[in-house]
Amino acid sequence: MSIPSVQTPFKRFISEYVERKTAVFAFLLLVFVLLTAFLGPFLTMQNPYDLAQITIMESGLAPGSESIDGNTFWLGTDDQGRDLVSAIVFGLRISIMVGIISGVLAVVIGTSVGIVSAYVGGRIDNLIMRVVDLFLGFPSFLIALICLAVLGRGADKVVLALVLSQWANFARIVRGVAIAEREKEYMDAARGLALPKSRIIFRHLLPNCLAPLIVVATMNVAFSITLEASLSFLGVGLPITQPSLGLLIANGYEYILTGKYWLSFYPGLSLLITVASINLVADRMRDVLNPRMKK
Amino acid sequence: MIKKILTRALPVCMVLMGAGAAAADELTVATPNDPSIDPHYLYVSTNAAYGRHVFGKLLDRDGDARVKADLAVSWKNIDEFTWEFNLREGVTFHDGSTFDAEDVIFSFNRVPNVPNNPASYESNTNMIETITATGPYTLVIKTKNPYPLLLRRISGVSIVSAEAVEGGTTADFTSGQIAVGTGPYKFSAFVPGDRYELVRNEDYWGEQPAYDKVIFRIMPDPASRMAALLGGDVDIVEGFSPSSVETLEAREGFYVAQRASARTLWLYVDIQNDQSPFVTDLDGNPMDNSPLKDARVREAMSIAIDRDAIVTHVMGGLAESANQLVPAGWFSHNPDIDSISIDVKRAKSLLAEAGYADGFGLTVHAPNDRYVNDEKIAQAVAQMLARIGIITQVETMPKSVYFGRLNRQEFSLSMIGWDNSLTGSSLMSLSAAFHTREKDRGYGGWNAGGYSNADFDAAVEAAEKEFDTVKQEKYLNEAMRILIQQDRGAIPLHSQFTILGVRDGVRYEPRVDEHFSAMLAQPSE
Repeated sequence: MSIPSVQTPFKRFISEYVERKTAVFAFLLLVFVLLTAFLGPFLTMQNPYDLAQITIMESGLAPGSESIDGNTFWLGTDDQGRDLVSAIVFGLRISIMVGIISGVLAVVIGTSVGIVSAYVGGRIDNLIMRVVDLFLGFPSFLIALICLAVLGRGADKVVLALVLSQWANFARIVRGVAIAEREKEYMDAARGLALPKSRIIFRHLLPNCLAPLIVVATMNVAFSITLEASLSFLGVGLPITQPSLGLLIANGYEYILTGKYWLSFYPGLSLLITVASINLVADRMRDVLNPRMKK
Repeated sequence: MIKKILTRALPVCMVLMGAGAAAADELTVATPNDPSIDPHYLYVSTNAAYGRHVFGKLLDRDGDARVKADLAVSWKNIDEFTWEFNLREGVTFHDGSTFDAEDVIFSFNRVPNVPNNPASYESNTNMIETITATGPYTLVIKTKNPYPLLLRRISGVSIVSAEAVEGGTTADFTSGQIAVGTGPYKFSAFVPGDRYELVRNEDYWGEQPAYDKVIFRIMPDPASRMAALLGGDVDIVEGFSPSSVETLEAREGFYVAQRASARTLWLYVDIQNDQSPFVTDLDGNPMDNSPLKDARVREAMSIAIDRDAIVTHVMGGLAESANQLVPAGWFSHNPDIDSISIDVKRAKSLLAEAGYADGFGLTVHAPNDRYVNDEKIAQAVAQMLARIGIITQVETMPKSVYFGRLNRQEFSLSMIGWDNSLTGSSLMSLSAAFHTREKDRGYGGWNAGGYSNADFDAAVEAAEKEFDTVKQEKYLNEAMRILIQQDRGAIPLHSQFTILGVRDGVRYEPRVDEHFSAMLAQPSE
């Protein structure tokens, strides 16, 4: 006879998560992608962003070709002679960094604004929400595009543009959840204890709004990566000498009818794997964390 | 974004579906360039090319850049300052009004007075002192100085109808309302960013063009243009990408029309500023004493560039490396200037000699939608400069932004490509791009590097006034020698080819000035 073990919420989450095999696979894939992005740059045969290390003499070589100094370009080279494996690994790092940093910043800003707005209520809530409406009124892509057209190129500017185009989403979501939570008994208790406002908001209200936020935030990282890729594809965003995945795809696009498929195919595949794995993981997290979706 | 994605994805789908071929009496051209309908607004060669369809000029240039009669039938050089023209009689504008000397005078006066013009055609008229009608079909032009190249200059001035255009604006041209010329085609419709349609002028005084209707489809993306050609959507692709040449030639039913053009690409170097805007030390801080002012540094940069590698690996062999600003075979190409061969070792030692053994920071600027592979060339140059220790960055931008900034001297090292066919010599580039800036005398309007040398200026001015072509070439050769060999005032890259993709069934022979002309297209059956 076995005694049912007492599960912590985290353990319960894990045991439910692993029930779905695809979700486990997606998680492993995501770990692999992250490891590639953050450890890969130390292992690649060249730094594709160092102009002195690449040469147009080796541009457009097919996968498996040999370089002048005897290395093998496993996925070929791009139109500037960058080793595509190195370029993808570095591009992946930029894409994921931009995605995570802008995603986290957007969540932090959006959550703070949303939760304060919900707690304070009244005229300030109204004012904040109209600003949020203003931002939500425009497609996030348009906001990012305008930002970059004004700011110019650079990773920091892309992050800023992505944050500006996405924080309002989070403010809206968190406010919705927080307004429901505000009326619950534990909040009355907290207020009854005459705790300081900031403590009530961030120690009592916030933790109870987190579950839906974690899911949306994870998905948002994938969305940020896609958005950054789209912006780079259109030629705004990151500098052309430091291509992210989107820019690699755009550079290869010109050759799409010339048979040099590898120029955009492999960067595209990498982007697909990254975004798909994040989305699958986030999907499963939603299923597990949402009590209503339980069978 | 959705529009952009659609414009990029649709052509590919069309290839897969196999769209129907265009009708025989219609010529459809895929072009990257939005036109200016006003022939006196925004002087870039693509607009000059569009203009030739609708508007006549006193004189025009043929496909080999030779001057030929258009609205003037004969002309005479009376003295060094005075020229007389006899105009063609019986020519009517597209609105039915009659062409005469008043229209010419009106057009020449309008050229420098188009409001908010980012690039004026006035460089083609500012040597003129007076232009007067001595009869309805006779005209006298007096120049401020002796000006032997007048005939070539006025081949860059379109003639509009005085009656129709009087008081009209550039916007009225764009709407088609006053787009009235004497050319072989008439304005039919224009949707900016999408299409420009022309119909044949049945009353044209000269030889009728072969096609009744010409449709320019404006497609900025090279892959989309290629796809449209393969899909049978267009007959001709302008600005065909060199990387696709092999693919097209391997396809049944298409061919590539190409020709070495008169356009040479070079890099301006900021020679003027002590603190050059995009020069930094190794830590990224601005430098008070720009290394670019040292001729040894400029020479090092020039010999660090492997022009043959750019020609082979970036231009797909469809370009010729350059050692000066005019392609070989052209008048005023100086045969005594040494060819520039890559020498990394010597470049490094020159840098060390100048005191920059560890290099410095520099940004290369270039347009990304103007010349064949402009953005890729800029990156290749950056690679090569990086190899001698200059820490290089690349910034590219659309031509609409780029050329304004270039002309305000906002860059340190910047790309330009100059078409030499208007003057048929180095004179136009030397006087506009390297003569000391003197706006009131019409010099140095494009001097984006701030180059200035009194001997050079004197040689250019002497060439400009010289009627004897042998002597004129001597002056021009001397000016080129001073600029390139002595002062290293510019870094030549290569002369590009004009490349078009054409469907079998259409015959097209490219012009040397890269201007597309529907008048040169013919059905080949």
